[in-house]
Amino acid sequence: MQTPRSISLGLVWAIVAIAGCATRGSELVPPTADEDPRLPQLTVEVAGRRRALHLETFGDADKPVLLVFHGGEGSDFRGMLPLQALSDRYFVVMWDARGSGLSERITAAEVNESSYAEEVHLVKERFSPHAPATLIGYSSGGFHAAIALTHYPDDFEQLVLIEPDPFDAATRATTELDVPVTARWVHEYLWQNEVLTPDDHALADYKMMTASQPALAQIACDPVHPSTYPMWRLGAMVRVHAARTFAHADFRPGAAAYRGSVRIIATRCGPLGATLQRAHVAPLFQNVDLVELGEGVDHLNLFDRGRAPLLEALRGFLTATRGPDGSER
Amino acid sequence: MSRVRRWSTVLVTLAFAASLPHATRAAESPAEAGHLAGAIAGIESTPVAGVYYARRDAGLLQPGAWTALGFTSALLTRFGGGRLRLERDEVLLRTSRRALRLLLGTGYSFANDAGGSYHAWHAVVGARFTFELGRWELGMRLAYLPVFVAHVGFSGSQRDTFAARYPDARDETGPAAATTWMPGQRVEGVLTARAAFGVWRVDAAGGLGLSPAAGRQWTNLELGQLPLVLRFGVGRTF
Repeated sequence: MQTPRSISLGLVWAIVAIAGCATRGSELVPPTADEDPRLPQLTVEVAGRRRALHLETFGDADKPVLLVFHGGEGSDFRGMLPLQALSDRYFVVMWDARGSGLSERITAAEVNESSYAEEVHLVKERFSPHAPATLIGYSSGGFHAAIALTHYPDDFEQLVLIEPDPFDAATRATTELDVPVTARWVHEYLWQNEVLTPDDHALADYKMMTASQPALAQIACDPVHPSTYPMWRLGAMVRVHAARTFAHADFRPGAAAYRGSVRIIATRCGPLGATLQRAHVAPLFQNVDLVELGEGVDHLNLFDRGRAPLLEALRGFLTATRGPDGSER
Repeated sequence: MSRVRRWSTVLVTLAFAASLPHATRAAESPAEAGHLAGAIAGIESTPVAGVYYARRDAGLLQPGAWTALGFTSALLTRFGGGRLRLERDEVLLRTSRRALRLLLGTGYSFANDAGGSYHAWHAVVGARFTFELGRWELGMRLAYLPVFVAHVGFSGSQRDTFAARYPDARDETGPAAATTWMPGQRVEGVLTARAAFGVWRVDAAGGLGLSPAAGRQWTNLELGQLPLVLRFGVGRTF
């Protein structure tokens, strides 16, 4: 064999060999709970698989339990941390859903209605085994709340929905974000494949994170100075799988059957604002009222700029007094 | 992208290339001009344009090899994304009308977005099969493009994703940058057509440039996967 030919073939094999020794993108995103023992976490067994949930609690564990479910499928509870202010009266529990935020990543097979409901139920049972809890769901967290209500309606005596996703597929479709074809950020995202490809969870999560903020700016009420929503990590694959799994899901019957009290909190602008809530979500419930937050507050900044009126709206509604053991507090 | 639209794109590309007027035989003889410079425009997921210079030589293996240096810019990123690549095209096997070529190359890619700035070193390894049909050189190029290493300078918002994770250390900040090994790989498969008009050369290529590790998500736009490759080039030999 000629020397130049052997060099050429040797280079080919070297490139292929290097390609097999991948370290991927774990340096680009914060590690998940199963990778980082410093993160506060809870291990649950859902759909036959033990998974580490990134979970934090605030306040006295003897107080009535308040579960907080984050928004943005695949996202995390970071933006909702201001709700820890409710820990003066409640034991506040916040967590990232399986496959989302800093919780352990999951497979496509674990993304289904029963496992979503089971996860919420298990967290509730862990902290309030003998009494119903209160559930706050924000944005797509409202969707998860609807799933939980469908399967475990007696788990929650009060429900708060903060600009929830609509419960039926047709209405949800009207709230989807547009992709402006000529926008610079769209093409930056497409060109990003030149340097990063979604080969694993870390790379896929990083890629989707880079597009999320400019995409979310579309639902900010001030386009000149768009709000931002703080996140740790976006679970890309759970977003993809959930979109496919729940594309035609309709959880309105679960809402209609719920007999507890419901408060819907909404802003005055954006696709998930008070107009949509009044028309499509509030009518589903038997016992509901709707509170509209003031000007300057939108879907992204309502835990920051809208913190004071939001907490006022919550405190004015939350009346649970039974601790996790069922006794009055 | 639906299967119908994918195949329609490929067929339209082929039809366009075939509709180009008949031309003189593409220069392959070692006695013909050895330098080629030109420009390309097309789509690599996003609209691109670029320039290139290529030099022909006797080849390490067989006559008719080329070395090409090209710069490509992602137009709609407003010069925020681009690539510089050096590529070697060696003839492995040749008959009177057919040739099998080995492709080897390396390059530097850069990008910018809401996550930060990126600088990456990548390679190209592949093969190109060509055959002459009448006055045309038609071919197929199959290449593997691994990114060996990428350095990412995080934007403020991306760096902030590492902050406030630990209840006892909310003020802890994240890294300013990261270097990651083997963060990307693509496979490119395109059909090519080229013809020479005197000193001018026209090229067309169309096909797919996909991320093999994306699996079923290889056309998922939410993951930034638009695996379309279309290139049209004009060059001049001298």
